[in-house]
Amino acid sequence: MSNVLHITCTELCDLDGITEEIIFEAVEYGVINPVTGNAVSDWMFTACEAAQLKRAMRLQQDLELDWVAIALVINLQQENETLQQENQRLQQRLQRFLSNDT
Amino acid sequence: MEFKDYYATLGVEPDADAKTIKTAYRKLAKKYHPDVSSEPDAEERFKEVAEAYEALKDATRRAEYDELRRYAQSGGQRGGGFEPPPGWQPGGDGSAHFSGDFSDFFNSIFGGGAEFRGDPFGGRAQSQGFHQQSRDFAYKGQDIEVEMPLFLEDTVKACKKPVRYRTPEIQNGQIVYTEKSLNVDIPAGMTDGQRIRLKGQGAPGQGGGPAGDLYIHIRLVPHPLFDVEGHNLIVTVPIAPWEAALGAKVIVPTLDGKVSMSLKPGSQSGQRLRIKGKGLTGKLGQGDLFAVIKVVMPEQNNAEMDKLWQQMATQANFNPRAEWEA
Repeated sequence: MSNVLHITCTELCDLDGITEEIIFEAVEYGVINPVTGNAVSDWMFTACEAAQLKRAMRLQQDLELDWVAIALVINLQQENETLQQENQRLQQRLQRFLSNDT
Repeated sequence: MEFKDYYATLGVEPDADAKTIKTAYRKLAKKYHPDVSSEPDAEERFKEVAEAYEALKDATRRAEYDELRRYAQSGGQRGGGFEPPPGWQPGGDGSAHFSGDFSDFFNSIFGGGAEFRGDPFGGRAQSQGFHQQSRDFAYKGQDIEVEMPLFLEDTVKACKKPVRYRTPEIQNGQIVYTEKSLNVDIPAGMTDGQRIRLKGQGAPGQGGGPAGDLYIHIRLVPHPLFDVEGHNLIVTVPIAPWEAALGAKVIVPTLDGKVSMSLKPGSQSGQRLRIKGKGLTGKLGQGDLFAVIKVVMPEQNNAEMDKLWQQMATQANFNPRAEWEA
């Protein structure tokens, strides 16, 4: 058993229904981003990107979205998640600053 | 088995045309899709909606369903349960591919005794979501995703953490869950939201296919003292007003011990002081610890202290709201 932090393009294709062409399009539209590699066959992804691609495929199938819409949804979701996390962090810091029992 | 009214699920009339059904599905899918919805029962509702659409979007399947619906309405549902008429055979070749995790009702009328395989987009419900497919193929097992809460202290250096999860497997046509436990190597410097993949530790493959993978989703547990900002840590340091005025040496907690910090005279509440190299270890190097000063008034004053404050008020010639008066 080994921890694999990066996933190759071929391994990503092992996810059923995903082809090199789909990966290429997902990268082209900014749905996922390879961490390394110039040529498609050399691309390496994080496990988070794999999860992102799965989510993109679900959206494509279930909501019948095209790549532009998927990229838009995923980017907005990421932005929303980042803002929510930031809001939560700031709330927590504010609470520490305002409370009397630090 | 309860008869399912797919028209009611989609909120359309039984004589609705294909376009109306599609529009209703799209509207509900947008509302309840687990990847975009914040509704509390989104996943369950989406499953129902997807199942209803799967049954009604195809003209042949819809005709079969309508036939059963008429049968149910004419008394086929007895004692609260529904069974298809004796000898019921779904149309098509019996090896249709359905891309969802459907109910027994759906499977009994459209299923055709198909085999299950792992969900290629697993994780919709941690370990649910099977596809039906004909028997003669080898399939990769389902990927499993589990969340692992991690304390900040555990991110400082590599550690081992136990993880327990269940993998689904098909045995004699039934889904059987197997408990698995692993001791996972967690590399140093993990951050909130990162995922670790353990190849081949997901659900077993079908028909000789490879096992799926296990994805561990790291969730940092909020720390009682420290907040995380990228690779930096923030700690709020309460100080007395005279420490703020005169400066002081303050002992500040770090993730792996304590450090002494010099406070300059005239420190302000909210001021951030950097303690280099005491943050989290990340890809870009070692983060810093930021001490945020919080001036705290003593809760109880005695007469002697009141006298001293009064003396200060007279001598300081300080108006913190001077800007308002300009």
